[in-house]
Amino acid sequence: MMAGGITLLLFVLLTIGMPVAFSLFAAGSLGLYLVGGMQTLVGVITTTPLSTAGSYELISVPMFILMAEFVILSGVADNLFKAAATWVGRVPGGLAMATAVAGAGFGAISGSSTASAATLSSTTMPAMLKQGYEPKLAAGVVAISGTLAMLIPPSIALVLYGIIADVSIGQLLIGGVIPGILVTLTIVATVWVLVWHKPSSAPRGNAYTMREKFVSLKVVGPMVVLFMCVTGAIYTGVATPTEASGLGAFGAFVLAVREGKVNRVALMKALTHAAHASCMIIMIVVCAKVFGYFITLTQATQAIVQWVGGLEVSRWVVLAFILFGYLVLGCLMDQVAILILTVPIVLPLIKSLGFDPVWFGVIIIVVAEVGLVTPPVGLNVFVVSRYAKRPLQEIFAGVWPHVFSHLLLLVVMVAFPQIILWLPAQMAP
Amino acid sequence: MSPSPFYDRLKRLVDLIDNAVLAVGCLMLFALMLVVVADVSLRYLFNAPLTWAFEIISSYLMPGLFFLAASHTLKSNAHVCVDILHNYVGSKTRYVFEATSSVLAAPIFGLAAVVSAQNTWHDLQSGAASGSGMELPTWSISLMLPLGFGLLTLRLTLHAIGYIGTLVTGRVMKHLPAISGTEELGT
Repeated sequence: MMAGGITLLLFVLLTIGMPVAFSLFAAGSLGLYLVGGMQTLVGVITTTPLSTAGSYELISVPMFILMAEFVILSGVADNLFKAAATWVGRVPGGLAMATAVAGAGFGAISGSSTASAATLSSTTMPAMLKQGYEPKLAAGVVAISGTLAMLIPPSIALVLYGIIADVSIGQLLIGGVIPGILVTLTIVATVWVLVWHKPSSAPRGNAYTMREKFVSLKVVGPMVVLFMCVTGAIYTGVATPTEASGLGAFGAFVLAVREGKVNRVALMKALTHAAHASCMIIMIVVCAKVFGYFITLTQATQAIVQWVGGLEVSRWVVLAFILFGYLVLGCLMDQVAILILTVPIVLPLIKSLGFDPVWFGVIIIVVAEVGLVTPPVGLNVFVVSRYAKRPLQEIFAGVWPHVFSHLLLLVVMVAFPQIILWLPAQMAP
Repeated sequence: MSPSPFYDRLKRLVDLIDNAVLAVGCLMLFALMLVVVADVSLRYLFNAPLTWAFEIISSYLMPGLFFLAASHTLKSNAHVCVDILHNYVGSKTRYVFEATSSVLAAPIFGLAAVVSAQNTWHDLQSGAASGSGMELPTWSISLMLPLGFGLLTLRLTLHAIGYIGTLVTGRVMKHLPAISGTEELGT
């Protein structure tokens, strides 16, 4: 009863636009006061923030964010699309397919979807429009390709899930590799179908000589270095995800220095952006912990798990409901906030139903990718709209076919968990 | 002209402190990266990790970059919120929403800041040290919380005054934050 009332208050605060972290802090504090009195409240709010912010595993969050900032600063990702276009530009819809490949490439060196969408919009949109692509098709593929960064390691979202769910971050990150490749192929296939259906929407591009094709590959060098710093290091067991995140950020910094892009102003700007984004995420984690204490005291999670356990329905029906809930939430809220708010309550339920927590983590990130491009709060669509200077409606219209094929792929990954779980099982122990 | 020169002066002062504190937070972020890399490199290359790395990171660098950026992040509207409803209501209602948020959040962060400041003061007087290897003075670690949340409380109070002042006087003391899609890019 009490948990229900305070959760309702939380939703009211969220609805009036109070920052997610502050809503959790305010509602959680009132709840703690009502359940345990002033002493409990003061005890929690004066110790939790320091202990949470100082937790060692959380380092990956600021480090991956910093890595994304340095990758953008270095400009190495700007040529990714050009290289991909050199190889597949001649194919019908080739530039749109190259956008998906560039999105995957950017995802392999950065964990930030908005950074990816911003970089892709400024490099790929002008090229596609110049080639005579239908703006709707072009904008749709840019918006969905940007979401790949969330799934392909390094992924800030998967790190956060790992921290909240207390699941191996290394296994999660590696678990994102094959689904990431499959999502890329799905985007390519969707473009192929769209262009096959309406050839005029994507005129053929230029042909390139083999020499030009191989020259374009020089962009791959720095990418491989960064990829090995992070995903390679984690997979081979050379470094923990925390250490790898530091190596990745440093590698991206060295690249930016090598490209001659680092000066005092640019560095401070990158650090400030990274500090804001890190602080925003850590603040939600800290405040969610305070709210979590309240929920623990009321034993609401166990009650929910028991209630669902007592229902006479298949576990797949429960899973379908949960995933549908994530899809709806994804339309309304920021993905990071959704993860932090829901995972502590949903995960015990998922475990009690016998599902694998690593598999579930990757699955909800795939669902979150859809949330990034669906109205009204499709953050990636906003980013593409702003950077490419195209109307929001056009991009939302262009992204629907991708949402549909994404959901089909989701069903496949739910039906065959080994797609996600096979690669982590091969990792160095 | 703003309806309250005093409010403007106070805001400029808090801005100044926030900028300085954020700069320190940014340096801590950069230092965090260097310490992690140095630690990993020394461990794998020379089998000689930095023995102090873990403690310095978890006691100072991580809390530092978080607490010292808290107020500036709010100032830059970089704390994520659900603002769908803000698309459908008038600016006066939005001012009421923003004022309510600030008024509700300020006292709780203020409470955390005041009580933790008392604890820090107690630590300073008693000369307590952390139980781990380096025996760091406890107050130097716990200081981050009252500093960060104290500044955040000040910023929230300024916001509350700005939003309520605008509603009462009818002249803009504090502009509304941008709605999703136009704010600074997060993750």
